[in-house]
Parts: sequence; structure tokens; C-alpha cells
Amino acid sequence: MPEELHENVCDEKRYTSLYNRYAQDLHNFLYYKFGSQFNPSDKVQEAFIKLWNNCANIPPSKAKSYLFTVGNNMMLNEVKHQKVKLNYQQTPTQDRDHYDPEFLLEEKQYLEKYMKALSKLTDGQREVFLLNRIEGKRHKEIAGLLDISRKAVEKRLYKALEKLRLEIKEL
Amino acid sequence: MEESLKEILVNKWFEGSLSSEELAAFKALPEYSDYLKISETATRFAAPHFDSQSVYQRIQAQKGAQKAKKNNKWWKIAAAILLLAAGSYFFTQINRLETYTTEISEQKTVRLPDNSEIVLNAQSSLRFSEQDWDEERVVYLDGEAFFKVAKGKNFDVQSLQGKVTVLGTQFNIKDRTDYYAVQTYEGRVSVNHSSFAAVLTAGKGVQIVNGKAIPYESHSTASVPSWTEKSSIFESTPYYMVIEELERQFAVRITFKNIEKNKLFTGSFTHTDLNQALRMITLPMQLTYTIDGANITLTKL
Repeated sequence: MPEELHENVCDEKRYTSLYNRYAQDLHNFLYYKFGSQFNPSDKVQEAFIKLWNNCANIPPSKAKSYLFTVGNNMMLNEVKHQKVKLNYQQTPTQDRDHYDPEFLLEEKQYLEKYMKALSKLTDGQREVFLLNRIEGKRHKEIAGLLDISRKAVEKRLYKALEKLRLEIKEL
Repeated sequence: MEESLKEILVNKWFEGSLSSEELAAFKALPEYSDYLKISETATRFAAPHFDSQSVYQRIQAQKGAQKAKKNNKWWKIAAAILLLAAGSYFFTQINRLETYTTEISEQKTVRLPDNSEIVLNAQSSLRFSEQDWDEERVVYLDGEAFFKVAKGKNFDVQSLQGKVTVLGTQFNIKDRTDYYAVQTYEGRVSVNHSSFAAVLTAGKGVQIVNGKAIPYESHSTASVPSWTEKSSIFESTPYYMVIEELERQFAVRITFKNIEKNKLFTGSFTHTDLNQALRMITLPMQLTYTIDGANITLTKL
């Protein structure tokens, strides 16, 4: 068994470095996967506390998986079978000077449909799609973050896009 | 259009790697305008702001509160450790890793069983298994080291943030807090990091700062890293990394006020004279310094 250079993450500096590296990613991952009803910041906090309490048993190479698994499980305990809901930003990012009421209404309807369609994606499709489209994460980065293959990322991305298209059309 | 081809185009589009012909084919898809709108609208669903700083402070506060509770278990833990240590003594005797460590302002040369040479920079450590070298050719590095690999040999260098697979060559690895860099001087190496993976040929390097990879080609003609020759040279390196390196080369503590610590620094400092080194890193940044024993303060000119 290969021995690691640092057997655990109890070192304060190492712990902080892990926090800087993964806290934001973990937060956004939990948000995209489980939606806005639950507080992802709290889960990030709890997951990192748990990492600290078990630091002696966790080698640095396993820390990322540990954090994501703990965060995920804590969410699952709360979510049970509730529907995922993601909020959209009220101020349009584009067409800022387009204030035609008809256009605004249409846009609002489109966003509502979009929101419903997003909630109908599988957790896996939604997290990968939003991490790529919003966070600009590359396929490889997402694969590394979620411990899945690059091929799986591609499949999920395409499925998510197609499903969104069909759902929005139908609604 | 065939489903699989569409999937390939979509994914290349997402990666921004469509060729001009592929882009034309992609734009010709009946779904194109829908795809575009869906992709653009996605950003409206961005996650709310994550207040990293205050969550971190809450974690630290909670950690402190728990420390007090843990104390009364101390002697139990100590006893358990003693037992374990006794037990594992025999095990470690069989499968022991050689460890080499350097202190501040110290450098050390280590030879691997295959005759490759490794120069360790200050405050770094290196471990590998002498006995099992043939079965397990891995070197564990914490910090910075320069590798001169014997011809035709190969092994892996695992450090906290990434892994480098040696393909017969000379290269430098620097793995420090939030910073990972590899520079090749001869031959080639394969780098594997969560935000960067590629083969680097001679002269090529990569710096990864806070998870962001910046590949570059070195302008210098040096065949060894500068730090093995008593100076540290930086090319577009965040300023705080330069300060941290200076602290490693001279046993000093540096504090600074109102300084843009992420500003990129290109320049060098010597390892032989503290005053000269300080001038070399402060003057180009229009800073000045005061020395008080081992404490140094940097301020704006």
C-alpha cells in the first residue's frame, strides 16, 4: 500500500488550504444538486467541522471525496423527497435596455418553464450541466470533482441539454 | 442527424473546442437556437454568493470550542498511541520509508536507488522506500525539489496537490500552500493535477495558483533551477509566494500592510545577503522595508 507523505489533515495549514480549495466548489455543487430551499453554506460548515473531528483518519488525497460525500449525505437527510427548486436572478443579465412589457412577460414565462425543467433533470444531470454552464468548469474538472469519468460527464451534459429543450418546448 | 454525432458536437461546443467546420455543422442543427438560449439562460440560475470568509470563521470558532472537550480524553489517547507505536515498530522496521527533511535556509542532495539525484530546497521533505524501490517507484514530496533523473529510469513523484510521472529527464516541482508548479529543463514529464494534466517538454512549465493553471514557456536558458545556485528567480508569480520563499531562505518573519499580495512579480533575490535580497524584491514593487531582529515589515514607498 503506498504510504502518503502526510497521513492526515490535522495540520492547520493543510486544513486551511483544503478549505480554500474546496469550500466554494462544495457550496455550489450542493446548491445545484439540491436547490435553494436548504442552506448549502451550513452544510459546507458542518462538513468541514466533521473533517476536522476525523482528521486523524483522513489522508489528504481522500479529503475531497470525504467532504463531498458528507455534504451530500447531510443534504439527503434533509431533502427526503422534496422537489428541487432553483431561484433565478431577477435582473436580466442581457437585454438590459429591453423594457417592453410584452418581452418581460415572455421572458418571465420562459424562466418559469426553465426552472421547472431544471427540477425535472436528475440530480446528476443538473449538477454537471450547471457546473459547466454557470461555473465554466471544464469536463475534466467536473469529472475530478465528482469522481466520475469524463465520458459520464459528456453523457450527462448532453442528456441535460436535450431534456431541457424538450421540457421547455412542452410546457 | 445521428444522435451520437450531435452529442459530440454539443460537448465540443461546451468545451469551446469546435473547429470552424464543426461549428458550421452545429449551427445548422434545427435545435441550435434552442440550445443557445438554454445555455445563455443557465447563468441566471447561478448559485448565491458564498461567504467563504465568515463560514471559515465559524468553523474556527467551533473547532476551538471542541478542543476544550477533547482534553480530558488525552491520557486514553496517549495510552492507545503508545500501544500502537509498539505494535507498528516491527511493521515499520520491515517497510520503512527513508525520509529526508530540510530546515529553513537549508538545501540537501539525495540520491535515489536508481542513481537519480534530487536537490531539496529549504523547508521541504522527501520520502521513498529504499528496500522496495523496484516494486514501488514512488517518491513523496512536500515542498520544492529539483530532479535529475538517471537516463532510462522512471518513477512517480507524488505531492499533496499533484502527481508527476517522470519520463527520463530534469525538472523542478514546487508544491506549497495553494501553489503548485512544475518546470521541465530536459526531456519530458507528465503532470497530473486536478486542474491540469499534460505532458511538459523541455522549457515548458506550469504554475497552478488557487486551482487556476497557467502553462508557460520559460524565457530563461538556465539548465537548473535558480535556487540550486543561491538565488530565486520568479516569472509572473504572485507576490505573496515571493515573500513566502524569502521567509524560507532566511529565517525571518515578514509582515506587510496595504500591499497587493496577488500582484505578479517578475524578478529574483539572492540567498546570500538578506539586505540585498530585500532590496531586490521591494524596489521593483515600489516598497520599502524595516528590519527589527527577525521581523521584517514591508510598506509602500
